[in-house]
Amino acid sequence: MHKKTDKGVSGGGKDAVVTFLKREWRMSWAGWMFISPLVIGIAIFTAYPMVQSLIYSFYNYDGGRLFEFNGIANFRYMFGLDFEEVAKVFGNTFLYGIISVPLNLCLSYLLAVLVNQKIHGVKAFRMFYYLPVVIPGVVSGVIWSQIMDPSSQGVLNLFLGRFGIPPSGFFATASTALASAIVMNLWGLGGGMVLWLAALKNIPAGLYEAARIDGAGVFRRFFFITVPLSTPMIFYNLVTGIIGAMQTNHTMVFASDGGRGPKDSLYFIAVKIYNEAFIAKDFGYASALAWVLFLVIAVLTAITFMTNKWVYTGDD
Amino acid sequence: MKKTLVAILLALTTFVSAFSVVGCSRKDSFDNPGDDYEVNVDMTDEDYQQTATLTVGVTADPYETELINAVAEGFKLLFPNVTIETVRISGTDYVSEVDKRVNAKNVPDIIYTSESESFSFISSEYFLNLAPYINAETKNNADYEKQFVAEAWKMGQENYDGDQYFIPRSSDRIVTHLNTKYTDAAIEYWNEQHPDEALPTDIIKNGWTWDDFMDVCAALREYFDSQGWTVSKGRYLVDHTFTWAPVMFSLFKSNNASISDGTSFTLDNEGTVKTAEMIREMIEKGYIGHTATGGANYENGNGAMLFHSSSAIAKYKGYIGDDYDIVTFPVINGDSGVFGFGVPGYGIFAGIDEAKRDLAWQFLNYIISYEGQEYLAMAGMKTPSVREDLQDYNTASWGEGYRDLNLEATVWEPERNYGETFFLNYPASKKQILVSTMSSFVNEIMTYTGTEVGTLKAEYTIESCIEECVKNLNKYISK
Repeated sequence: MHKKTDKGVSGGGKDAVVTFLKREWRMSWAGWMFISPLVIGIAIFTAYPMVQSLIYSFYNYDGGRLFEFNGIANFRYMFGLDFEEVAKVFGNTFLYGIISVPLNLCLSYLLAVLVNQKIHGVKAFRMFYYLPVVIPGVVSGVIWSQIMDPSSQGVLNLFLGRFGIPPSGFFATASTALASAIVMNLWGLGGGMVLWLAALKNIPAGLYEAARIDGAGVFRRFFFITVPLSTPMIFYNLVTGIIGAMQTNHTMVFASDGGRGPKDSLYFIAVKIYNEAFIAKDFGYASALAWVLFLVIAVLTAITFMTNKWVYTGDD
Repeated sequence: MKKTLVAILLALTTFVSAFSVVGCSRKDSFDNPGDDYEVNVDMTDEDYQQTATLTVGVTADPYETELINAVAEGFKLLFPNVTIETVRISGTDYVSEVDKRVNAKNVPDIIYTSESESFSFISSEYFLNLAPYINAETKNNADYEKQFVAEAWKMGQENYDGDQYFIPRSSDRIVTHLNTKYTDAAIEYWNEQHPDEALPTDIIKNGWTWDDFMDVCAALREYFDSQGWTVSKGRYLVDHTFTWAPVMFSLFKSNNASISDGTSFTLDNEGTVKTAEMIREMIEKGYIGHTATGGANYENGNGAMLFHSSSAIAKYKGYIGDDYDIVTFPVINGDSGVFGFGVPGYGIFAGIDEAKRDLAWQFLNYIISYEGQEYLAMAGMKTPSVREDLQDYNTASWGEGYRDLNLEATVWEPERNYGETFFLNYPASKKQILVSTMSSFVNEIMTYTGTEVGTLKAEYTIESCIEECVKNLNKYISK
């Protein structure tokens, strides 16, 4: 006997599940139809490749005909012989993320606050700041490699030279490569700015007026109204920023030695995954690395979510 | 609770289904017959009249398509009802793109390859073993293989010394591309300034040595500086391409540097150190830039020399104009000196429809025939033919339009042509990463700080670079 409740079906067995699924289908088939393009897209372009790469991670697979099961050999190699390099690429990636994520958040936030002012021509400023975002990554990589050309004839070095500053190696020397990549990443501040702007526009103007009447100055209004009410967007940008930083691979376009940079200073985990797959022809190992990266991102994202009590949700 | 259970069940079902699909889809998409198949090289009138379409996979470079289209015109005179269709295989990595096509069961009948890419194709068993065809042709004509330049022909063999897997269509070697505007002026200037140490005006000639080359560089540096084209302004002399495999390995080989003895990596030897020192001497004298500085910019007319393949003659002639010429790569270490060498060519896909296999061979055989080679040359192939009877650039079409250049450089002392083999000791799938690791090694050798001659400082010792390289090579082969 199945006992129907408003929460579903109680009483065990396969029949109960089938009955429950049938009933759910009758009730919500139209909804499923509406979301089916998305579901199918995710199944084909996300779920299937994920499962495929998980399987590959247990195989010795060269992208061609070599496809041999090798158990956990890829993972043993990762934490054994290749550990030094794996630690290096994760170290580089973390360092890049730790510096570039907060830096990008803060600067794009300040930029958004600035272009949120009611001043003449502000729309043009918004457009100019956003413009770099629409330039493809490869193109901006090439542009920046020209700007940061390490020769004394490089654009930035010529500029620095006018102030008597000796030319920098930028991407070409180990000591300056990571810092140069972080600076280059600021090129995309406009993307974050637009999101901040949307958040700032949603803050009720009445709150500012009330605060002004109560005598709150610019800074008090900023720290007690603007910042708290934009924490949901801060949180969103933080999560996507962390994920984006962990997947950074734009150095492949301009860094020497196949995107590794001098002394592996720009060698990020995503670049290593690419190199292992397409240079070393080791798709199995690349898949194993990709899954470890996925787990690391999942843990970092979970930690971010677990510590999100500072986010204003409107329930407070 | 029930909903959670159902969700988990659905997820598991999806996961297991996807696992099964992925697992099942890994079945081989074709059978390679090895050398055990019937061939027919004697075409009858009926064979010549057959109707068929052959697909030829080529790189994204339009040049290769033009060559195939040209040779297809000649082939049509023999087989009027056969259509040759080119399939452009584009992507960042040609081998990976071919892999994808094999997995998708969408492979052309004939596949373009270079000798470098052929290792992967042969080890993956994509190419048909052509030995049965070669044997059949040899039965008809005992000198069949002797028609072809031996150094080029053997590059189409497994490990350069086995069964034939692809047919080289031409040969290509590293030469020195010159901008004579600078070299002539530099020698003249040097001889005015240093009459006691005057350089012969014909010092830049085929077979010139590394010492000759360095003397010319010294003259060039002095001349450039006198014109205000200093190192601090990023004006270097030579675009070296030392991290590019054909140039890199010819340097190592010429210096008798050993990379591997088959069981272990033996990079730590006198030849390697000498090679590294040669490169560093050029950097420290301001002849070439290091990794943190730009190159000489030969293409734009700023550099005096460039080491590159002879197949680029048309391109650089177009860039440099009347001041353009070529000469052999400098001979290092006397008789030990070698020049990087390679061959582009075509192989037959092992999974080709059996009904088209003989026809595909006929097409390959036509490409390397006298007529086929002339068609290729007239379509723009300006590198030495693979045929012995077309080596004379004064009469063969491949020399046409460029006979005012020193084309002898492309065929001078063919015994010096060299293709690296150290990676043959290891699985073919490791070849690319091993070569890439060697390039990284040279890159580290060339890592300097400073931008002025006299202030340059190497970032790493040669010994530490060798140690790091050997460690990485061992790591890659150990997996």
